Amino acid sequence: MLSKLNKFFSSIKLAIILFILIAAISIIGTVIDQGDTLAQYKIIYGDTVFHILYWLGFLNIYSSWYFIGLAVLLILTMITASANKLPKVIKNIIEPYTSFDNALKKNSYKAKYTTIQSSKSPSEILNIAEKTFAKKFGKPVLKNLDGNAGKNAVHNKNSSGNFLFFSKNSIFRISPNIAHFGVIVVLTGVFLGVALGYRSYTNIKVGQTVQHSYLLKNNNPVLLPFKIKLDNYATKYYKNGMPKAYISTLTIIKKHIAILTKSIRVNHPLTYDGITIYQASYGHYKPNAAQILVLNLKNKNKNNKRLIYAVPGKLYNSKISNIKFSFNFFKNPAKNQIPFYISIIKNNKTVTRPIVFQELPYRTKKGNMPLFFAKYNNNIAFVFAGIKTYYYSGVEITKNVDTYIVWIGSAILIFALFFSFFFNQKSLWIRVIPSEEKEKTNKIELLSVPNKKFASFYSMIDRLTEIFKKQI
Amino acid sequence: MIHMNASILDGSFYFTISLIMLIVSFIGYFIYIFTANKLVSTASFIVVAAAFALQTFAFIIRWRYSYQIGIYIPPLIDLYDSLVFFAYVILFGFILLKLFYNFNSLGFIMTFISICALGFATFYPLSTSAIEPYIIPALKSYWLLYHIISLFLAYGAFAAAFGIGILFLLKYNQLNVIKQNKNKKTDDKKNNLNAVKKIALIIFYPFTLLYKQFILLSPSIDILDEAIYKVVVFGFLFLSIGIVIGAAWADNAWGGYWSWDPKETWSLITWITYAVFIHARLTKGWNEKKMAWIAVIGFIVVICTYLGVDLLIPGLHSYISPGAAPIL
Ligand code: HEM
Repeated sequence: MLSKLNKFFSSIKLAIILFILIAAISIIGTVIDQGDTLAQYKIIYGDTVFHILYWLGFLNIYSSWYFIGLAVLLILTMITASANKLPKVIKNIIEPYTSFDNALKKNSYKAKYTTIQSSKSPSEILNIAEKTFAKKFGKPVLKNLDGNAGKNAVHNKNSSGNFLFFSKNSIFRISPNIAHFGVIVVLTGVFLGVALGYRSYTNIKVGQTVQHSYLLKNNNPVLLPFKIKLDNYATKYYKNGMPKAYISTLTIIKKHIAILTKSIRVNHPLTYDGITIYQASYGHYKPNAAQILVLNLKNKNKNNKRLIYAVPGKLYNSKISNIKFSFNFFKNPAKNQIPFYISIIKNNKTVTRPIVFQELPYRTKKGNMPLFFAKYNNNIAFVFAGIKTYYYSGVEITKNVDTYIVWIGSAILIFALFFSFFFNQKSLWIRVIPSEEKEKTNKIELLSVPNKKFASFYSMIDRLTEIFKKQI
Repeated sequence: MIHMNASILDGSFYFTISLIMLIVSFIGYFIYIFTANKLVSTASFIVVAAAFALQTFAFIIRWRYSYQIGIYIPPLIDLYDSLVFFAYVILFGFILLKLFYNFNSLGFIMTFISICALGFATFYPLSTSAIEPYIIPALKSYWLLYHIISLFLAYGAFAAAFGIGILFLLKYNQLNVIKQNKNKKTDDKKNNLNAVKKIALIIFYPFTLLYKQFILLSPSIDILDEAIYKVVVFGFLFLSIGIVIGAAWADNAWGGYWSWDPKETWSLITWITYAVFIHARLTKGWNEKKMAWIAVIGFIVVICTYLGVDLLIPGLHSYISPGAAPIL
């Protein structure tokens, strides 16, 4: 029973099936948008389809039970497959040799076996062989040049006879196991991170302090261990108006004490207390307001002006001769016309004609923006000094737990892949069987075994064998 | 209206010239298949090498230009950049394969893929060679360079594996046909071909000749099989490195190493496809032919990841409209 289970879990066929299933499910996840709100899905798909998709788990497919289940199965198969192979691999590293005949029997499907005749003595032959094959196989692991030479050799023990045994790169046989170990480490880190950490976001208005953020996956609120105040938000622009940087200045507050203030921008987050805050988006939370400077032309005092942030269409009191006004945009402005105007309301009656602005020959000191000017009845004037935007900054707040496990696992995986791809084990037996009758030729047997069946391996062996033949 | 990227200033002119050179070498390789003339293949290879050198020069021009206008990041960020780089990497791979394996018959497939990428870069209206003097903030990172170079080395390798895979399948089929013909020789004498088949045979005779010539010129199946494997594992290694770098970068820029963004997901699917390839070799009953098929299908997955996701599904990685997404 247990061995059946073991066999089932360690089969590469199962691994391939799991791989294909995981890939197929991932494709579904790219076709159906993930992570929208339920309300959005209802609008996109209609009620019936929505319910079916919801029931199938397609709307949050990467956290569905079957996707996670497949990942867990994959880990299990990897662990059992690696564990099953490990004893053999380790034995191969510590003691790569079996006997010549054993090696031939076990590797008949990929081994190359050749025999040559030579009249040279066994030790001479093997000395030449060692020199010839050392180029590709390194130093022989086992060597018996003249152990039992001359006597009737016993061939079924690996310590007797005249032979050489080369085994190169046998230590790298363990690389696939290490690669699997790397994948297991990565997935462990991922699971730990999902279980213990979170990814959330929140929008903070300039000047506001928050202590909650909302999970990306379901919008549930998370209580942060500290408060975050947004001191300022600014977008920096290139000369042509493309955004260059989005910068939020944040203060971390713990128990009413400001702990630190730092600017964050994309690629430059802030980490405090295991929690990282990233710049993610920005926007404005109120309609843009016009900065209108209202001037009392009759009053020559210093206090003759007031700054009003006027949201288009809303009524404001100028506090001058009962005049109320609103700031508006033309719906269809003519070409070259300044597209905004002031409406005047006096004694609750609208003065019909809109008061159009004119451009002044001055510019603002800050930002070098043009100034616009509109006048009513010689006693009140309005200067348009730009638009004020009430920004909020969208930040992503994540608690990344054990991310370093993922990076360590990745590093292990990549190194192990490198070694398992480019360092292949290869071994070579060379045995000389002395002729029983004197003065006859000796028989040389060559048995080379690659770890992978590569055409280049066999052609390399052929080449070396040719060189070897010429020398003996 | 035909739009063409060919400006001396940003280097695209030289890429366009190299496109013409590649078309010439493609024709050369095509003739080579008909004639098996060594001279033609050598000449074609020299043209390919020259085109590669010209592209190297063009990249240097482009890189210098982007520094001159104040972007301190190599020009590898938009669709045009990525397509020409793809063409470049494929040529690089072909040159290596030609030097190591003497793969002349691969020339016509590899130059073809490279021509497609370069042609797309040059004529597709949404791919413009102009380098804007600004880049969106998220791309201002050196992770980007290593991320893209690793992935494109992988893509180039997978393209090569695709080409060799096709050679393999053609050759494999041809060998099977020859084997079957040998077995059938005796009862073939009855000659029960109908008229339509006969006419078809006559019409397609030059093509069958071409096909046979082609098969003769390509290396043996064993060598092809080994080359596919080696090229794929090279690609797999760099795909893994590229994905890990991308994850590290995302962690740095967006607060999570993995967001199941369509491009990320498709790169995982690509990775899985080639992981299946690597393991398939270890499974008894999966012969070399299946491996060649996975190499061919794998490249289709690569193209889905590389272009399909951009053109069909918007996401964090879109080349087409940088800055349009609400995410910075
Ligand atoms: C998930 C990612 C995986 C990666 C990156 C991976 C990687 C590798 C690599 C590089 C090799 C060596 C291939 C070669 O020698 O040519 C290998 C072999 C192998 N893999 Fe995986 N593998 C993965 C998953 C799995 C799973 C789920 C199983 C479960 C059965 C598995 C079972 C095996 C076995 C049995 C071998 C043969 C080892 C040997 O011949 O010594 N692998 N794998």
